[in-house]
Amino acid sequence: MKLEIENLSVALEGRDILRGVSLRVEEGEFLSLLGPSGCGKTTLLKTVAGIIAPRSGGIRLDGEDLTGLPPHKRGVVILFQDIRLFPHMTAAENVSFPLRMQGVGRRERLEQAEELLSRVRLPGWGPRRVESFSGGERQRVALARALAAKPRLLLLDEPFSALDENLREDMRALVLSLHREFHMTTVLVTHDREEALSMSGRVALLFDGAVEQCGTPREVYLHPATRRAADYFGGCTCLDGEVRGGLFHCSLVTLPASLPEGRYTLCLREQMWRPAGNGPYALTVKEVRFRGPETMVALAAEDGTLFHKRFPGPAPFQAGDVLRFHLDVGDPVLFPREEGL
Amino acid sequence: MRRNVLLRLFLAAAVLCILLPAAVLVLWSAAARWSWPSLLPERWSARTVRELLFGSQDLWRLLGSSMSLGSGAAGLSTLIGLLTARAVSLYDFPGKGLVRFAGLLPLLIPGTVFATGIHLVLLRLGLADTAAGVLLVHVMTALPYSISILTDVTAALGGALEEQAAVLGAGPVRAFFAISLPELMPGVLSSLSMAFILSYSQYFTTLIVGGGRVKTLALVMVPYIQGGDRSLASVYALAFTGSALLVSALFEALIRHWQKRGDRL
Amino acid sequence: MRKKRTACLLLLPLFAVTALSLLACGSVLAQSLGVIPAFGLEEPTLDYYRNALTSPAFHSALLVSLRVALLSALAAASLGTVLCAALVRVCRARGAMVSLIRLPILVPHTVTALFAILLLSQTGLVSRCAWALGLIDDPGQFPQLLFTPGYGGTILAYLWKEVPFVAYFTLALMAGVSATLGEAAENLGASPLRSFLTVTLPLSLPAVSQAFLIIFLFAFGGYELPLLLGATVPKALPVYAHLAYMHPDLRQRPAAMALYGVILLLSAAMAALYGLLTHRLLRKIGGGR
Repeated sequence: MKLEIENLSVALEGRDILRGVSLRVEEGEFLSLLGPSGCGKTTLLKTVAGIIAPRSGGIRLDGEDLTGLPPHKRGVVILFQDIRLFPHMTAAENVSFPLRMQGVGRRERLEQAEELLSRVRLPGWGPRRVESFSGGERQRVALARALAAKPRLLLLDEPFSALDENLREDMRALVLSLHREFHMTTVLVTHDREEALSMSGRVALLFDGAVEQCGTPREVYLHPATRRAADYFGGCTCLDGEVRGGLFHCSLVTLPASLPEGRYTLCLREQMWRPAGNGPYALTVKEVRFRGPETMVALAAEDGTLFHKRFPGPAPFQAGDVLRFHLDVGDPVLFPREEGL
Repeated sequence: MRRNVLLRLFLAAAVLCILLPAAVLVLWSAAARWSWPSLLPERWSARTVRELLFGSQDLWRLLGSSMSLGSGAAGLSTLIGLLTARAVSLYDFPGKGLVRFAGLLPLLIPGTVFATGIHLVLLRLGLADTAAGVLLVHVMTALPYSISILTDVTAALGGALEEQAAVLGAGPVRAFFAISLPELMPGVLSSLSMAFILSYSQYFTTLIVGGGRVKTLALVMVPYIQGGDRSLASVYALAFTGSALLVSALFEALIRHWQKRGDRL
Repeated sequence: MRKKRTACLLLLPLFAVTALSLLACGSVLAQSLGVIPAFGLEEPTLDYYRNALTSPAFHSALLVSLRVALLSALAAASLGTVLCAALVRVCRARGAMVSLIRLPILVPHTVTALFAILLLSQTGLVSRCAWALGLIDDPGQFPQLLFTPGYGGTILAYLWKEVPFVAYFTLALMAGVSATLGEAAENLGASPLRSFLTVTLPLSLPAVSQAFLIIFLFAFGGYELPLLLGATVPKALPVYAHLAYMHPDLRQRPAAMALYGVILLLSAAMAALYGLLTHRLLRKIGGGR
């Protein structure tokens, strides 16, 4: 089912949470909603599900306007962050709950529940009470329950943040395989950048209640639209300079740039520095920090700008060493610099 | 939504059931003549108010004794509640379940049995038919509520702040008064309010334990209620309820003021 | 952790109060067994209990109290749950309405009795409204609710105080469940009513059942309302017992104490029985919260 959100504005208790959010999710697509805490991701999910009423703007599912439709009639299912399994029901009763609401008979719905539980790798767990389940097991029951509701749109609200690192990987793989199997339009809300980049077909960056950028993971990471977007993914150092006569000039580097004249900021990521004995750039090692599988090295350029680069394993550098690099800027990422920024 | 309409009607009916008796009480207090089937009094009079203020019962002395009894019970109940809450929430010892049960005990004993039995005990202690005895019993009745409220707030606060204060050089008593008590204030005020109202409203316990010598407004009100003069009964009930609500509202305001103070900090 | 000695010191006042409570019960039970040294009665005997339990006046009094307690508690629990649901759904468990609902809890039973007299008596306000609506012509035509062996007025007066009590007692739990699990149920396709019936209500039952027990025991042992609103015959058990206690012939004292003893022991037994029943039942429903 295609989801279209148009200029959605939501206020809660007097405060503006979402300001004119517009987003489109194609049928069967997996979209991640990425952003820092408090930017309105959960509010957006709840508004699409009908739990919160928007102040203005429209939500359409496959062309059908959802405004005014109560939550239990929308076919939009949220997997909540606090999971919310019903403690007074067994796993099978939890999973078959949506089927019960749809009027499916007892035997049939328990059979379907068992099947779904097998799909989430909990075969035969139906008759067990959910209170004794671990975090990962509860998450899987909740997933099965959401699928039982045969949602037109599946919304996941930071479902993996409470789980252990190892468990998270398993759960992500499970969600992706179920997504493929059921061809369900899915929106995943997360603040984990790697999760968003690795799982989704497209990523939407949400800052301060508005969509900053929406595109494929590569687009969003390699070609951030704004400085905030670039900063969010981390590992980048920004250099201020200006464009004159088709060239970008800053204290460290000069690059061709077909942009109108003016002041700009260049965004450099650590992968752009390629160690080479004959490289044109000489950086002095300031600090070396061994972290196990990698070593984080702080390097200073001639003008004092600090860069960070990770080297695999224990790197044989010491403070004071001078290393030479090539700078592979590729398609330079330049943002116009506003007054006062 | 259809279901919400039914619920709203139910709420409206509830509000009516709560406010209507109060309105009728006020009307009866000022009625000189209100015979069936009139919906409003036919004649008004200040007779009952005069009787209340200047009549056979000394209203001000009654209010005084009821209020002082109430305040005393509130203070003592809250104090003991604080000590008990502290012991249960912050200390480790065997038999906590038993202590919790002991805290609830007066609630589980039927009121008439409790009053009669305690009167026998107080007889032997020489406290029967005295204000002190009545005060003691009021404290015992209010204690379970105080313990409940104060245990909740003490447990919620925990010992972390006091530990921090101790590490910074404050003695335990100082740490409590300077750090914990301000945080516990809403609970303390809540306990004081609840205990006061409970003591203020006591009838049977005051009757039995006081032996008729301790007079409170709650006690004096009852023969009027049993009597035929509805106006006089109403005005006494009004005096009682009005004073109780006033104190309760005062405590509510204090609690809200204290919470706002906390929010600003 | 902290010193056990400090804990003991802190608990001294509670111990003193508990000792007094236990002594109170002990005195009543001792006297009910006929042991009153002050009167020269030394031999424990079950005679007073036997006399009490076989007296027909006692039987009717017991029935009255049980009936009043059961009907009050059942009605209060049901109506209180509906009121609570209304507060959660319409007011989101906040605001002026919630404060208003708390008011009856602050009003003592004696004043509640007066309310009942002013409104429910045959010349009360409700009767006058019935006349205004043309339903009756004469106060005698209005049903007698007060001072009847049916104790209808007493039950209604208990309800005035106890329905808000149940609502207030259950409010925090129901509001919490409704906001999380109830919301999840609606999200999964349950209409608000079905969400309430299948999820919110079952999970709120622990609080409702606790309130039920509290009201039942209180109404069973309550004195003020049956005294002021009940019939002269049959009396409620606590009224009957107190009357026996006030008997001028002090040799009747153990008989009165036996009545109090029955009230005490019955209350304790019912509380224990109820605890056992609900513990098992609630484990099935809510998982022993």
